[in-house]
Amino acid sequence: MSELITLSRRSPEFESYLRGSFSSEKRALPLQTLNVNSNSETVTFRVLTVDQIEQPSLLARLLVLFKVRSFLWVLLPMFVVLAKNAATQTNLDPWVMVFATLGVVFALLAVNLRNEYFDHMKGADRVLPESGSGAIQKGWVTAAEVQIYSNVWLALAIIMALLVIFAYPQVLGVAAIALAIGLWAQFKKTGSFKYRIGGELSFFLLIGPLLTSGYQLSMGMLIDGEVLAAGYCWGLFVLFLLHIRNFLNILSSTQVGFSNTVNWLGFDKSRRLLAGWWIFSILCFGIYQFLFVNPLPAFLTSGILFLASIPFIRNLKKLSSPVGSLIRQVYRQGYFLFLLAAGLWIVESLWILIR
Amino acid sequence: MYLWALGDYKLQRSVIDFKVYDQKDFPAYLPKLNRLYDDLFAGGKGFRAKLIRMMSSQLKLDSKVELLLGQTIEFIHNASLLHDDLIDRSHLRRGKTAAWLKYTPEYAVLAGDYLLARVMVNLSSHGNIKLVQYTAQVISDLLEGEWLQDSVVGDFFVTLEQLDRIHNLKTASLFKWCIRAPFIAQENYSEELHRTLEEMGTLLGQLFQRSDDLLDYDIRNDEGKAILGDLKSGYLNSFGAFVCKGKSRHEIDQIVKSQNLEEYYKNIGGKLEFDLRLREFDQMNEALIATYSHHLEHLKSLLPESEKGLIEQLRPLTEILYWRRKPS
Repeated sequence: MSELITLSRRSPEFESYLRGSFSSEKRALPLQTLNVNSNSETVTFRVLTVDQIEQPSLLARLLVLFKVRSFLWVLLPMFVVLAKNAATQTNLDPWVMVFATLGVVFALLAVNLRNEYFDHMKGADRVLPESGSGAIQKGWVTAAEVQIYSNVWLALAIIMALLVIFAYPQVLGVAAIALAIGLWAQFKKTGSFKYRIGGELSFFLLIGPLLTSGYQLSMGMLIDGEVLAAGYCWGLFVLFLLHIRNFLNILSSTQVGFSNTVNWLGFDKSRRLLAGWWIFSILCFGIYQFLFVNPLPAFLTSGILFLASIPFIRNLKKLSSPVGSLIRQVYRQGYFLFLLAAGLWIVESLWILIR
Repeated sequence: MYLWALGDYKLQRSVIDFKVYDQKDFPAYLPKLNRLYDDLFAGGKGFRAKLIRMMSSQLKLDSKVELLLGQTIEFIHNASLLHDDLIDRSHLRRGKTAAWLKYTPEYAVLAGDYLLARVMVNLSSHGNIKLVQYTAQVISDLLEGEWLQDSVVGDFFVTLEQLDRIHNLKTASLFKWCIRAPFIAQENYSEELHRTLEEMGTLLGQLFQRSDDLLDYDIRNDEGKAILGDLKSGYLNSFGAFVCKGKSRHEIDQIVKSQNLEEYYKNIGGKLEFDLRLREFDQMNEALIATYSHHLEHLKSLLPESEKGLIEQLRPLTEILYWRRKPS
């Protein structure tokens, strides 16, 4: 038997139900939400005992909760930097490299879980089901536990960062900027990065130029134009993914008042933004390859990406409604283009390594 | 038949004689407009106005206010029908030729606009600015919903979640108005009360819409609504979207081509499969009904003793709206 309880944000119990800390034997699953993103938010919870909740295997839960798919966001740029340095016969310290890689992965896990926690506390995951992993919503884990996991991963990331800084103190500058962005996000506490215009820029810097520069420095090398350009291109690709996801949710997120670039521009201008952003990303990627890799892959990958973009651009042009199947198709096509660009970049880096 | 259940309900005032439309409400020098309204209002069941009467009688509202509220909701609803029929190119409304066909599309649009204008004139004369503001918001939601719904016509891959968003704007907004407006007219602006009513209105709207969508598949179709009418006019309704969930593009292409129920059963994998999906759909909606009952209990705690009778009036609404049967 389950019971229902409705609480408003002003209720003293509200936070404990949302965090899941009201009981150790029960879980409160949000069922209906009103006035999200406001002080008068009301949530109706279905309260179940822990054994009433259907749970997949621990591994499946962890894969979902940790958003393993997003590891690509950090692993690819690190691989590109690694391939570049390995190809130039640079002497790399394997231990520092391992610490730096683990540090970045741990930091990503901490950020993912932090987003999961704040999205739940602010209600983003209740109005935009695609925004989170769904692990808290399904009762697999409580928000309070997610917050603890996030802090644990953050602590591990800091330890790894300290080890790297100890070996190469010049990494400190990049780490300090990343920390400042992280602290800004922490103090804002207004949901995850992806729902703020300033957050999008921070996200671009963290995943793009800061990541590649930091990784380069952790290999005992100096920051160069190639590393910055690679980070810049990757940041553009990842931000494209973020914009297209925000575009998919434009109706619900506008209704609840989230402020991101897509909502700010509106439906029609956002369509142009997405098309323009993607074409601009391909162009930048082409120029990066032309200048730093080789003209042949530059023309080859740019050509493939341009050709593959045709159905996406065509559907984007046709799109006239924020609901319906076409917007989901456009999202899937955009996601495919992102994966294609990532795949081509991996192949190209492997080619650099073996050539 | 189910709508009359509300009329049979134990009300202090009769709902059957509740007349929201009177020719005198409109200018006599516009005979065509009056004829159009005569046709439009003649066949209406006035369900929403009856709901207003039910609420008003429990809240002891003045009969003039009650009439104002009843008129408001019926005018908004009928304005939306005038526009809806033109958008959908429906030839019939309440068994008669649709207004846009009989009087030209231009007149149908103007008549709909005029009703909405009358709503604002009447409400602003009443003087409750919160009521005016809330009503304007509902009209705005309704139009957004209409707009979005039109954008998914011909789209057979739309999801139930997307349709719910549209129905929340288009259908539920009027239900929310019906149960909130009498309290606003009473100048009871308690935030908690209105939040609870908002949740209940959302659920009633969703249940009504889903039940209405089931008629298309001849489920509890005592009204004799045309079978597969929505599907044939290119609109995959909530039950259609529920059935199509998880099906391949090819399977959906086959399903939506069904010309009758026999074909439909065959295309989705047989009558047994259909019954199974229907049971799942009903179960999903029973969860909504349970949530409505939960809010109803909370509402009870927010009402003064003199208004607690409202709870028993509101309780069977899910039975009437979703299951389409008289409350036991």
